Amino acid sequence: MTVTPFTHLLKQVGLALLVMLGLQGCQSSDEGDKQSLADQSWDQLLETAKGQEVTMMMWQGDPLINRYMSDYAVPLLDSVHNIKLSIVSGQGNDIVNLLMSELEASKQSSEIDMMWINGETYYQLRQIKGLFGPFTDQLPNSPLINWDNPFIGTDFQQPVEGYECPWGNVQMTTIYRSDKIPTPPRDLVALEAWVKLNPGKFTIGYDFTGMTLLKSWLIDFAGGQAAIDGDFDEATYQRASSQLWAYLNRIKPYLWNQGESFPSSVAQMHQLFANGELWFTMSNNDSEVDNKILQGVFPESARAYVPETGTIQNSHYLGIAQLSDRKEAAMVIINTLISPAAQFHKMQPAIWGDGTVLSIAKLDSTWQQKFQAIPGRRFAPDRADIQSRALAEPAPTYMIRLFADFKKEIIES
Amino acid sequence: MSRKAAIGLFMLITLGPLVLGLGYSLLYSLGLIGLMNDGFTLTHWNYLFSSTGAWQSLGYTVIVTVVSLLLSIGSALFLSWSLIQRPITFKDGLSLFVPMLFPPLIAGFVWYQLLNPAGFLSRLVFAFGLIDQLASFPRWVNDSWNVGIIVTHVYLIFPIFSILFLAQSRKLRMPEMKTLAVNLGSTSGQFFRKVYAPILLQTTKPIIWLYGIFLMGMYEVPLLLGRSAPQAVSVFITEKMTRFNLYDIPVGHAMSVLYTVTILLIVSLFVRKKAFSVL
Repeated sequence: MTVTPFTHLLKQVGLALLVMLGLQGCQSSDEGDKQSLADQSWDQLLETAKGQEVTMMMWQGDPLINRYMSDYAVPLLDSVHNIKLSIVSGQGNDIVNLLMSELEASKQSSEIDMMWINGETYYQLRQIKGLFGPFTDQLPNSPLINWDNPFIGTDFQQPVEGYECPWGNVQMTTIYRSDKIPTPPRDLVALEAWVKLNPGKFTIGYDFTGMTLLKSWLIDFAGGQAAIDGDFDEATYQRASSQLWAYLNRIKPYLWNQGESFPSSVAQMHQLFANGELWFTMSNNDSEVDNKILQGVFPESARAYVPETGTIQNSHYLGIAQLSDRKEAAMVIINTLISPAAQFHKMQPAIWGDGTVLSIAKLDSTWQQKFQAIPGRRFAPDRADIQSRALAEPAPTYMIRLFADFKKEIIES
Repeated sequence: MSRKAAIGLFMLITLGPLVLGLGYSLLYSLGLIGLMNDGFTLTHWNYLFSSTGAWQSLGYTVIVTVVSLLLSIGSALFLSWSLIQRPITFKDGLSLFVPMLFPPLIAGFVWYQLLNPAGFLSRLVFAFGLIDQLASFPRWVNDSWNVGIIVTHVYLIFPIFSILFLAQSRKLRMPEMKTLAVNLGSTSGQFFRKVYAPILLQTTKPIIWLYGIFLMGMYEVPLLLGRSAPQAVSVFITEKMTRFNLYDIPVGHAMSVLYTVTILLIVSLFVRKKAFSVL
């Protein structure tokens, strides 16, 4: 359907009816929910969760991930816990908009019970108080999580505080055509030289992935991770971003389409890479290059690497909607998805290749051996090799400012 | 149900949601509702009026729409002119109806795949040795002249206008009028310029306006085939409402109100009540 401003307005009708007619629903019973769930033992929660139907909203842009959920997670939850899990498609802004509209309309129960969230969505959902929590301490598998890892226990410089449960951990990689580029540029100076020699073959997405790349460049211009850690600092941002915009404006004429437009999604970047227009693309999942070659989307010559400037490493999480009335089942699902068995299955490159959030040292010896025996990646670098170049997500305001200023300083200039 | 009650119910169903939605967006843009708002403020409207991006977006949308409409209407006039001279075959009908089967999103993808520098046309031209590398193919998508958007728009609405003009010209007995005019000493070209085109444009004016509004609100086509800036109004609003900064949402609502009011003004100023009598 064509989304016109008119239809957008029409979509608001249900909400407008409620707001304009002054209908006010009952206040959320969050405090009561929280107390009642906290008072229950895990066995009681398991019992309550039985037979519940849970709706989870998640990004469904990767067939391997979809297959993991439909062929592994859904049947497992049904057979072990008698919980029916329905997956609906949506990510970031879809989740925020839906939960925000429900809260604005004072709805008493949400259309979705749980969701896959990343850092910026977590930040937005905390802003609107759309997440239920804290709940992670009640999960029996929670002690196995590597909470001490700053890339897991902290999300966009914000403590997780039990409002989301880590599910997987990834590091951004740059993917390139090794048949065209035998030695990919290792830093920003080398990249500038390469881009000028090979016009039209490199670009940056005007999306979450593109901004994640720019954050790593911003950290580089700021003088390293330590310079940008902590709360947003205007002076630091101004100093580093002015260098970043100058750099980008220097290479802009040599970017894809002479920098007149930028891909609006990582899927578009991948498509341009697959059809040969670009020789570089990016991924927030360090093992995606293996997946995409396995699926036949990327050419066999595709390889992933992390330049010396480093890339952002972050985790993705599972959250429960504040207005969900099936929180018990959602907690059981999350506990299952962070179990060693589910994490092990998910980590295998042929399944998903998602990094585990568990601390291997905390697992029993059998699981330790299993995790250590997971076959390595064929085309992506080993996690251990790129860990030293992992950068933490800066405070969310950096992302918001980068996105707005990228448009002003680069796209519109 | 009486005729008046039926019309009232119809108006309630069609205009009611629009009025409520507009009211909701207005209240949101003024800070009176919304989780992130703290009460009445004109900040979002001030931001919108001082933002060059918003005005560029409106101007850009109007220009692309006007160009697409002119090309579609011009082509449809000439096609209908050539078709009324002879009976319409099954192939004629099929070729006009097929483009209408495509939703805008699919049409956008099809033209993207045809026109992009690594697309079908580029590869075909390369295979014939007309260009030395795929990158030499001219950029017709995400380009500064908006070739991809305009071609897709024309592809989507040119057949509709062709069918409309054909039906209207037959209804108005244009072939007989032409024969009469020629017998009285007029040339075919004179008849086309002085009679055929003006009468058809006059009698179909409301539909032309409606399709203009339809094109202005198009989302998928400019998203897929347009540049990152300036953006079509629909893309601008969606970006404000769905990107990372929740404090931009009221600006998106303000733009929705501005756009809707602009359209209503255009309709009330330029579309006369009697023009709808042909519908």
